Amino acid sequence: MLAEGFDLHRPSSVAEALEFAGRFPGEFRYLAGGTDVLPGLFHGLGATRHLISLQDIAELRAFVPEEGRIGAMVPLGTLAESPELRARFPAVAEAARQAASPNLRNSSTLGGNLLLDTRCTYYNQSAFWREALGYCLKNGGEECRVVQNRERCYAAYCGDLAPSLLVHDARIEVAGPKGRHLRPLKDLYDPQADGRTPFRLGPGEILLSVSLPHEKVRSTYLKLRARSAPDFPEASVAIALTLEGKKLRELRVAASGVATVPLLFEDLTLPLIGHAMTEEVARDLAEKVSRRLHPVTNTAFPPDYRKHVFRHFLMSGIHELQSGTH
Amino acid sequence: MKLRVNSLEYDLAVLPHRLLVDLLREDLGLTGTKRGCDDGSCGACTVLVDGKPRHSCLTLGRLVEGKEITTIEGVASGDGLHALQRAFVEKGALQCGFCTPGMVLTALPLLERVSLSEEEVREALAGNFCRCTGYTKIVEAVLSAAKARGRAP
Amino acid sequence: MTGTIGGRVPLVDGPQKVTGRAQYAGDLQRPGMLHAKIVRSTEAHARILSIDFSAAREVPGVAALLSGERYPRTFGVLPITQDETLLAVGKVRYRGEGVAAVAATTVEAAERAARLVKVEYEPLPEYDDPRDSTGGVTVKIHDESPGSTNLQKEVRQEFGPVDEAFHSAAHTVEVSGTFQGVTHAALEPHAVIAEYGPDGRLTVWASTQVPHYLHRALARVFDLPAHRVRVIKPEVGGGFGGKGDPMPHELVAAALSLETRRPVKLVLSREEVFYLNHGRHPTRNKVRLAAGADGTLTGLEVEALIDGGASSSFGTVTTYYNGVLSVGPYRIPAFRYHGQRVYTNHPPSGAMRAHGSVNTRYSLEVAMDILAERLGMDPTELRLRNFLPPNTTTLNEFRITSNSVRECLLAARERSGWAKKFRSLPLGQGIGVGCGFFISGSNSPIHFTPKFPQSTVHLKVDVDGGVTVHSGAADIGQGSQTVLAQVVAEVLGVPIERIHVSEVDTDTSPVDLGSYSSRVTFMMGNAAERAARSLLEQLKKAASDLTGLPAPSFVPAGDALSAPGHPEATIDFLTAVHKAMEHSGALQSSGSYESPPLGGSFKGAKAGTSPAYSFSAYVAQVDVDLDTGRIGVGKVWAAFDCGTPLNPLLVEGQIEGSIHMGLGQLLGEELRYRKTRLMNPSLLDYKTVSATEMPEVECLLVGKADPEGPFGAKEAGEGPLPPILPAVANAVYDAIGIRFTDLPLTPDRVWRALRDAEKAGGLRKPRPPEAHAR
Ligand SMILES: Cc1cc2nc3c(=O)[nH]c(=O)nc-3n(C[C@H](O)[C@H](O)[C@H](O)COP(=O)(O)OP(=O)(O)OC[C@H]3O[C@@H](n4cnc5c(N)ncnc54)[C@H](O)[C@@H]3O)c2cc1C
Ligand code: SF4
Ligand code: FES
Ligand code: FES
Repeated sequence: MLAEGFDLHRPSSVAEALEFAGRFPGEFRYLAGGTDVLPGLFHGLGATRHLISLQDIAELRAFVPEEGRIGAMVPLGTLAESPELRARFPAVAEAARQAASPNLRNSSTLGGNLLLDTRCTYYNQSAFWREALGYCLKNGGEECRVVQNRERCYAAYCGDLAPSLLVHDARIEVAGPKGRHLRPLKDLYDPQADGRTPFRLGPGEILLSVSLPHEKVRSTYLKLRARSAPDFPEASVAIALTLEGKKLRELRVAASGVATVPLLFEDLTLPLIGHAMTEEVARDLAEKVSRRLHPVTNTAFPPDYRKHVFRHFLMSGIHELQSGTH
Repeated sequence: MKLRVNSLEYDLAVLPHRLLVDLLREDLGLTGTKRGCDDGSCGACTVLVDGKPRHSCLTLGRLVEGKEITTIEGVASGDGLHALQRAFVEKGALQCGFCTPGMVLTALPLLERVSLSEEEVREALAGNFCRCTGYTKIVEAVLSAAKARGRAP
Repeated sequence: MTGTIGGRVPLVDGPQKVTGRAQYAGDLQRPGMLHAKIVRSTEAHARILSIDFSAAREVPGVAALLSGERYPRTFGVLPITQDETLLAVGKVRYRGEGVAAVAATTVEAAERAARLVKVEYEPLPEYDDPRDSTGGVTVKIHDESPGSTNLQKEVRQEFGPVDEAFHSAAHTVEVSGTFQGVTHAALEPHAVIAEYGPDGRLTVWASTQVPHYLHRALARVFDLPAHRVRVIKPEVGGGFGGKGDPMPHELVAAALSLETRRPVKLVLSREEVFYLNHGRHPTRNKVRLAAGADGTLTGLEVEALIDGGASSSFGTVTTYYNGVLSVGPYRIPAFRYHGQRVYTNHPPSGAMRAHGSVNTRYSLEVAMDILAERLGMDPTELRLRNFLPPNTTTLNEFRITSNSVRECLLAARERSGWAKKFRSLPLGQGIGVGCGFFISGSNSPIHFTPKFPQSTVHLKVDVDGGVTVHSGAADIGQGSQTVLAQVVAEVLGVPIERIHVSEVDTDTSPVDLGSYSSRVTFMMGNAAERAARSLLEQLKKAASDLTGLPAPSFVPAGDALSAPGHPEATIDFLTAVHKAMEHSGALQSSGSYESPPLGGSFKGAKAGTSPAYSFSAYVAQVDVDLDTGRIGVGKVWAAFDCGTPLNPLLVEGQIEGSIHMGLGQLLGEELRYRKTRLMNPSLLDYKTVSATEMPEVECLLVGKADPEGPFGAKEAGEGPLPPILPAVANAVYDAIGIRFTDLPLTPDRVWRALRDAEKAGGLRKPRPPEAHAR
């Protein structure tokens, strides 16, 4: 049941959408597939006066897998089923295939996934539940319920697509009141920000599309979840890796579900380029990476387990990509 | 606004907050579409929107204007049951029947695939919860309907 | 015989359900209907100081506001523990309990008004750990508990020389288990419409398993003569015990209808269903076994501390069942039980599929596995050595008649290739066994007054030859309507299409106690068979009148009555019906079932008595991921003795569904409480098993006809659940050599155990027994 009291707008172009946004400053939200917005609204989370639906904007639905261009409104199901995408950007197709559930993926969009609200056991609850406990930081309250403190929210970013796109060095195109611009996807996330709103997106800005570079990179995505559907990632890893002879030409690793933003570990992987990837190097990398993860007790599995599986996934993923068993 | 459901056109006023599931159940009296959860997780409310299974509880009514919606009431054509529905009944793929409409509509598009394995059926149904059958006979029914079309081993 | 019995007969209501035409309570509408919403307590244990309706009253569309004092009469499913009220009176006992209710013209208005109701509470000490409820309680949850405890029920039983058995035992094994609460999670959230009409009658359509008990509760709480209350059960979207009590919200809807004189509909949200709960009790138990050097069991001791949550529900029965349902399928010469069920400030626990037997069964079957290992014996051999035979009496005086547990175990062992696999699969893979038995209908009715049979069935034949079956048995998806139709068609020798089973309506349906304790097939089936036989006598008489041959010479077959040796005297069914109606204009019959007197004369002797018991033996094969701790269940060989399966299609469905539910409790389902707060009241966070995690199941129906069951049948609704948990846990032990006694075995817990095992000297398969099963 949705509470009454909002208007629904259906712009048919980006310009029109921006115009609506400009008309209702601070009182609107964009609506893509709605699979995150609506469950939130059922529970009184993210209530707003105006919903601006992006579904009628043809430009956002463009999907050119050969060129690595994906409109923000392309459903995850389309990505999961695209043979071209799987051939060129395997981790992206795999992440899409493991997101949510098959039917949800017909509604869930890429844009909505990249901007998925962060999650927490104490936040993704009904209005009744939250009222009974007393609200927390992410929700207008004074205190975090997971890590006793009054400053920082530890809600986890749980989108499945971001890590895979990050390791494929994705760029995004964004349109705002001041025009359009391209930027690296990693700049969409503010690692300094806490779990309340970790996104770097200006007021009214619309995510238009994602583009992936053409180079051939092998990649994979591994996800920890309680069930095969529809559970969110408890920890997940995307890895892109290419070898030149025995040496690494490229290596990128990214994570989801273990911090307030998706994490990309460039500073840890760059120094490895040009070297051989041995079992030891992989273990050392896994160790270093896992020290950067900050899972807390706000999902189904305990933090140490999520870290452990992450390390295991990272090593087995590297192994898989190296040995070409794919 | 105009809504096309099971090849029939309806003309009705829809407030922005109305969900497709409620329009179907309350305004159109198509109560075959079920509601099993509050958070979009169970799949009982699955309907086809332009041929694709979607959760009608996560779909605003206004946003399906002009799209073709198929509910469980529109699956059987003419006199008898659809072959998939018949398979569900004969294979014992339903008990209480509450998940059944969503299951049938999720499985329906699978029959169009060129081939279908048991694993694919299980994966496709993994987001539809059933508490009665343990899924065993549901998977069997879908495979047998696919087989009847020469699509499964 | 027409062959419908024993056939794979699809559900008679299948076509309705598969087309979306079946009507569940939430699908119904009544003219002028209002919608209700319950205001729920944000506190777990607190005095209600005030309820302020002033803001709620202002919401346009609000028709009535209600608090508990208006109808304070208590109710409950058991006559001895009527401790629930439709809304809290004076104090709340769990978070999520109803404190007030609203009826309004739309759901939206009702919800808005409900949110505006202001309740002021004075918090009381909260009790979340049952161990804190057995003594030293400062503010009791219910005044009825003795002393300074929150005790709801305590059972002590002792049979045979228990201490002696343990003193002189060659081996003793002790297992202490911890079990979290699990819940039914039927896919249909509870729904109800109540309509108090101008004729002064209250009609209630409810998603219930127990129309008869709801009928009684409504009459009691509103002080109405029972004939002015009518309960109708439409299709029910799954129950598993979760719709097995008269539920507070059903009475709330009725109360609001009494207040407004309009129909009132109330559909629970999924979250509210979690607070309603009545699921399997969180439990700590201890099982001790004593055995001789050859593995013969000499004693069994069971202790259970059961978290009942905030009310009694079926709890008195639960407390007995945790003990008495462990006296089979093995011969136990000495038995002691101490069970305590305490109130806590959790949502109420109640009856859930395989009520009261799952947790003890788990610890017991794990103990059997440990004992076998101590003895150097194959665990299947140990079980075979100790099985109860057919036609015997347990030491607590359960009468066992048909019993094919031995055949079950032999079949599962053979089909699974046990001998080649046990202790021989590579590290990480394993095979395990678990057995069980369960009642086939509780022998004692819950209410003793007035005295009437446990099940009655009426048949009414129309002039068109259709046979309408009236029964109060609630089909909640298990297919009891289909079984009814099969039984009647079989006796009358007519095609099943002639039979219409009407929905339960207390105006026309005779009393049946409802769908619980796996009683329906056995009791209703017997009643139906008798009703049909009585009808058949009338038809034979008609055939005799038409042909002049004596009535006993006729046999029903092929939609007709024929007399062997007299081919010319075959009378088709419709002709016989018309003849039989000639003078009365009606053709009707009734049949009923009353179980024989059973059980001993000691206190609590009736608990667990049943006219028949089902038996089971499961073998499961698993694959444990040594890196992630995830348990994959590959295949289950489920051998089950339900007597003669009346309909293998439905029996298999019950077994597969039970395995799904049992695996859920073993592997991931749990009501996660932080103190009294339920952390996962949603289907996203309460992890039932999905289609991809469900194992392959091979059903082996090896039972023989039960002498008293309808066409030899026993139950198959609950008994198939318990053995799956220990079978898998024992297989996990075979795979990695680690015993788990605390459920659920989520991957993180398994991983932790794997890690600890590695630290403590490495992970190893357990050693094979010296004596292998042949
Ligand atoms: C039961 C269930 C299970 C789920 N499991 C998973 C899972 O396993 N993994 C996973 O990743 N997700 C999961 N999801 C969440 C969700 O389905 C996906 O993340 C989905 O991709 C979100 O996309 P959407 O289009 O539905 O987003 P919406 O709900 O429409 O939007 C999400 C957010 O993004 C903003 N937004 C969307 N598009 C744009 C744009 N183009 N420009 C600017 N802002 C925009 C919205 O304003 C909103 O804040 C699950 C959801 C449910 C209900
Ligand atoms: S991490 Fe803390 S502040 Fe953030 S949502 Fe959870 S409880 Fe609230
Ligand atoms: S009702 Fe459960 S997913 Fe829509
Ligand atoms: S048949 Fe009951 S939920 Fe699937």
